[in-house]
Amino acid sequence: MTTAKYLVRRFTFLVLVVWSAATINFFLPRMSGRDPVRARLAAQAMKGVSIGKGIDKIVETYDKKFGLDVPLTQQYINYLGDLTRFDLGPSFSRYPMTVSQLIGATLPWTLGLLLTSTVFSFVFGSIFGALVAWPSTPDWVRSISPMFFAFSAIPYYLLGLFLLYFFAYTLKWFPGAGGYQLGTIPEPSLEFAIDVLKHSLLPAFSIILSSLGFWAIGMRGTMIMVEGLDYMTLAEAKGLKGRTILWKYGLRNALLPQITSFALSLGFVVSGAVLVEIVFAYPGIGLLLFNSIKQTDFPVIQGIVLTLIGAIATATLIIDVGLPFLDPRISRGDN
Amino acid sequence: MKPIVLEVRNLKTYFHTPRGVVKAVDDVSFDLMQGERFGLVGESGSGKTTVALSLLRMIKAPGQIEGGQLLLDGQDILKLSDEEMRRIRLAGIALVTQGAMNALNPVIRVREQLIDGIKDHDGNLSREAMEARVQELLSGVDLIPQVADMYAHQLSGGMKQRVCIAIGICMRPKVIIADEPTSALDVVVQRRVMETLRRAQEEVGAAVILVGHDMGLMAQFVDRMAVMYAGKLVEVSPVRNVFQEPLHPYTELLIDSVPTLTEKDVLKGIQGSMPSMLGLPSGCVFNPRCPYSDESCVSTLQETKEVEAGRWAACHKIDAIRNLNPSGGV
Repeated sequence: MTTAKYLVRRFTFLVLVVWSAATINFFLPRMSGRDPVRARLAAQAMKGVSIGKGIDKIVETYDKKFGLDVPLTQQYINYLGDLTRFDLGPSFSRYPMTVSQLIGATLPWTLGLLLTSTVFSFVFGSIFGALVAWPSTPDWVRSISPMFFAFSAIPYYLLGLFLLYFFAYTLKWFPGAGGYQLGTIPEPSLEFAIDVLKHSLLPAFSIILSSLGFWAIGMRGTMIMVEGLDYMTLAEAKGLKGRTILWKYGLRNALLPQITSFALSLGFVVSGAVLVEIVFAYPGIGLLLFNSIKQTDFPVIQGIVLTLIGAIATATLIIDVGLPFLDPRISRGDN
Repeated sequence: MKPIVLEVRNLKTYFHTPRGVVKAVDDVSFDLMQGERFGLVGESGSGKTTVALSLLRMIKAPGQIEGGQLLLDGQDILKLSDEEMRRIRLAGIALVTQGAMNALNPVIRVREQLIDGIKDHDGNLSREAMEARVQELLSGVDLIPQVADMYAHQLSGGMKQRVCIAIGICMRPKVIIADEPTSALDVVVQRRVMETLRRAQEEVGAAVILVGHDMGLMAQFVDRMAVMYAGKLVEVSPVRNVFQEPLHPYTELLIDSVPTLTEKDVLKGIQGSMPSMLGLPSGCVFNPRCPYSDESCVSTLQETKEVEAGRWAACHKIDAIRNLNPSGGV
């Protein structure tokens, strides 16, 4: 099988996964038998909003607006058609904002924060873990390792609260909430970039501190295993420089299992670090998800879930396509 | 006689375990001549691999080289700095491990594994010179040029072993330590790999220390042989003498336990098993299993003596035993 054929097959599989997830996503809420428009109006009525006799008229208008007046199969076809245009429909709670607009506004914040901190903690955690397992590492490196392992045992939102209290309230070094200074208008200027960076440092640190230890523990384990293998003995007997043995023989091999979990964790980046975003009132997708759940805004929740599925499926595709380049023993069946 | 290339003098390598000191190599001495093939045999746990790793100064904690001298061309390599010792490895003393399993790095190509050793010693050669060297090394061990582009998992056991030999000779070392190079190969491949090793060794003029327990292989390959038991060398003799007239009772029993093709007989072994390395018997370490032992073997300190020209043995009753069996057999 050629590489092109393989890629086509693999991509078809990705589309199938997203399609079936989207289908489940469509039918599951509709199987509950609840009428979202009536339920919403009833909830309003309970709060004392006068609806009066026109309720049927209101329901009819909204059903038309949300495309609920056509048969289920037609709704499903419309829904799939909309999906191909990334049109996820309007939000219930923030109408007339669309789900795509909401996700589009929050996703860059989340990606910026989580992508950076996930990559950072993976790279440094893995190197750190490898060094801890390396015999000729200076003792001071090893002596700080319990600190990171302890941090990884603390939930990151608790760590976030701690950082918030210490650095934002007591020392006042960093702002305590938001993605940028309230009152400023987002613009592509250096000043604004620095402001954004200042706001993202504390949430980023709470994520990095808590996950660095996770990557380090994993790496230390595989590194110790690799060090016991014959090729490491031969590498030393070959009189290779310590650096060569560590990077080309040790780390290069110990990294392989880490890469898989890293790619998967990248997929989860789009779901946002809900709790960190809540603690720091960070305008990311996690906060949006949290608020949408509170307001039973189904289209937004579905949209976020769908984005997450798409991201994880893409990450899996990247692993499948990329891993044979890193580990020649994994083949695509083309030799 | 050929000049001595490696002198091992009173080598002591001990492991400091929580339960006591294990004298894995205790007072081992032998000389290695230029271009000579020297066998080091012994049971599992007798300390032969520890000798091999001591010569490369690759003993890991809790192990430590406690004493002795390792003179490579007259220079004591135990006195070298770590960096100087690193340069000796491969260029002075090279190791050929059992290659069939995972001696090669699975994620980098054979070419890169042949080159990196040269790079870390010689600095950089030009690309063309390096490629020429790779091809020369591969053809020297009967491998086709395409092997350079392959990964370990694409090679057979015998091919991997040949790559290991090519790595071992790439810097033209004075001494090659071959630690059980063929124990995972079938006999046919084994024979051809050993022929390759012999040719490669003769080509670079290196001496070989063959570590193993295959007496048949030893008989065919080596010039002289040392027998190890519980961390001590009990006998060093030319290989022909070892098989015809073994000096030490352990060597004798070892040779008797090799099965033959001509006689269908109950396999002979050696009574008992190796003593715990934490509580070695006093006197001669072999005395609890030795058919000739008496009280004097418990009370007399074991010493290696030159019994006749070129033959050493660590048994104080050698003369008495020889008178008992003039032909050498039991």
